[in-house]
Amino acid sequence: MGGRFVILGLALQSLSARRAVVLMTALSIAVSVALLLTVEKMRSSARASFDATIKGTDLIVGARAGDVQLLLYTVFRIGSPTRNITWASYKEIAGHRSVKWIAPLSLGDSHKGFRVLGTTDAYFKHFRYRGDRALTLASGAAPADLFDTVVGADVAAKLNYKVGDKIIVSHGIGSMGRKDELHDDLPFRIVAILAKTGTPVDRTVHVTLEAIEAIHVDWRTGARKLGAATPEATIRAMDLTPRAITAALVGLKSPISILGYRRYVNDYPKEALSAVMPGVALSELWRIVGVAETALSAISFLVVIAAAIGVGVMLSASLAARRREMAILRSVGARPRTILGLLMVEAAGVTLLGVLVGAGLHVAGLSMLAGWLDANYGVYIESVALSSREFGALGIATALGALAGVPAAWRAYRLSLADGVAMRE
Amino acid sequence: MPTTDDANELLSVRGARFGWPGGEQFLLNALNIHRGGRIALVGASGGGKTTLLSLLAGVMKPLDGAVDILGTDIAQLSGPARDRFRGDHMGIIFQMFNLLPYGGAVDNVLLPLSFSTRRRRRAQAARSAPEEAARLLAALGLDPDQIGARAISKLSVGQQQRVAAARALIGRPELILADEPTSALDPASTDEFLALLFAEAEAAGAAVLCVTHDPRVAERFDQKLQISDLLEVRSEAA
Repeated sequence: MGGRFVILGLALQSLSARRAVVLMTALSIAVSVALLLTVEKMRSSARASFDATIKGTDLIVGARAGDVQLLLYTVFRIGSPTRNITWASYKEIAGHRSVKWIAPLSLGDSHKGFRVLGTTDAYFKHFRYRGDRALTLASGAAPADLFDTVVGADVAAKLNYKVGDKIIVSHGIGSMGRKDELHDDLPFRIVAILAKTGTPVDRTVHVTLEAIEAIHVDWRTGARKLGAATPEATIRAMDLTPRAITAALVGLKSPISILGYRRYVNDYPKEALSAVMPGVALSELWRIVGVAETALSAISFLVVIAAAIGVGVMLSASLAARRREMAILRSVGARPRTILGLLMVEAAGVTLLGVLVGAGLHVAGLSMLAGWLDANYGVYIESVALSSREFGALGIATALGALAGVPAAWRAYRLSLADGVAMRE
Repeated sequence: MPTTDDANELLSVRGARFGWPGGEQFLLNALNIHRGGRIALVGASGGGKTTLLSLLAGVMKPLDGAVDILGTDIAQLSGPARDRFRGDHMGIIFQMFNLLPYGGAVDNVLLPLSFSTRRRRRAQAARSAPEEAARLLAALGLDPDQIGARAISKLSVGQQQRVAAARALIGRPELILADEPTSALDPASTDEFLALLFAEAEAAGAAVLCVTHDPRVAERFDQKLQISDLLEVRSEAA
């Protein structure tokens, strides 16, 4: 007789005889495992989405600042630059022989809490996210007029905008929309709405670089000039070349020239500039924001440990009632080691059941929620299938459950040695 | 390993000193049982009878002396080997709560076969193992069709003891050890139980060694031995 099969059969029978408590215990394992897997998936997806916010750009150039700060205001539209880049400097660095394309960014205005970005066609042409995806229009057509605007998907969704709507830009990024902060004499017309990207682009109102200049003709140092507003016709006739921009995205002809060009910008003599590599800055930023997700991971792992301890508790609690069972098994020739094995198999079995159910819950839940997560939180779940890392986590969870059965199994072993076939009252 | 020449001899204990660590120690100078014998060991609780059963069942190893069963001194065997020896050659019936709470009556009767190849072979000599289990249940006055698959908790105490007896007998082990098997039964059931047990033990060629405090039960056996006469108590300190 194969001893192992005997143990397996007995364990299954014994577990099914106590199915109520066994299922509860397995359920606690399942919930903890589903939590662990989901946190793990969110973590990797958040990281991937985060890394996917900007692609295809070799360097971001701005006024001298820390890498993270520059990344925050150019890509994440968070915070603001301390200084601008003069147009002359911009023209000079744009004219460098290594530059393949350059997209100037002018930030500083807002529309109902969304940042307004003044830029050029180069931005729409070269900006990439999530692998190698370009920006696409969900509706409308490319801007042609000075006061045409293209809004991100979240802007349109939140403010219920459609192509053809007119919007008014506020001066400054912290604007509460007070009358004296509005560029209300020069409304913009929405000509296009961008497709959802899951990046800060969704929360941006895009206008032309010249339009930024145009709405500021009557403004000096953050306030409107006294006197009558310059008529739109006059503004259209003016030279709207910007005096300064906030930053620029740069694509180079060859990756080999990245370091050289970066040094060139950093050492630019006429102005204090910085050039940062987006990937490097993203990693640096992730190290800061990643602490929270590490904590979350740790917590979900602790929940699994707690559930595993529950398996141990369940078995230990059953021991007193099972001393007869053990004595009976000993009387028909079972060794104490068989009793040990029986309890261990039970612990592992309950945990494994929980782990499988938990993995099922996780996959089913994620399949249902993936679209919603992407649409609402920009967390793109590439695949609901478990990664090798996640399989590893499942293995560890099962091992933990089995391990939690050790004290009970060992006690059963000791008891069955001491009790033998006599069932002491 | 010392063996005995007497082919009729089943069990022979010589000068065995035994006891649980930290508990009383006992000395059993001599006990001999021949094949197919029916011996009642009579004594009140606490007289070392449970400890004696542990010794004979091979759960406890004597501190010295020999416990020869079927020519094998089980005192010389390792723990697992004694477990295996017990599984192969002994059937044990407890006072009560003999059965695993899961599985039905037939599953419980078949249980020893999972631990002993020898008994499985012997049980299957004439028919399949489940058929043999059903035959034993029927021989012990139970209707296998009716109670075979019934949950153990649904059986009366008397029915449970008969299932336990069938389990002890399956695969024809040479020695049946019973610890107060009838103490939970009324006198009529006791008589019937013992009659059926003896009949089946005889058919299987098994000896029955029964510990009891009940003189009426002891009357039914060929040989009555007082445990107090058999065992010398040696205090631990000595």
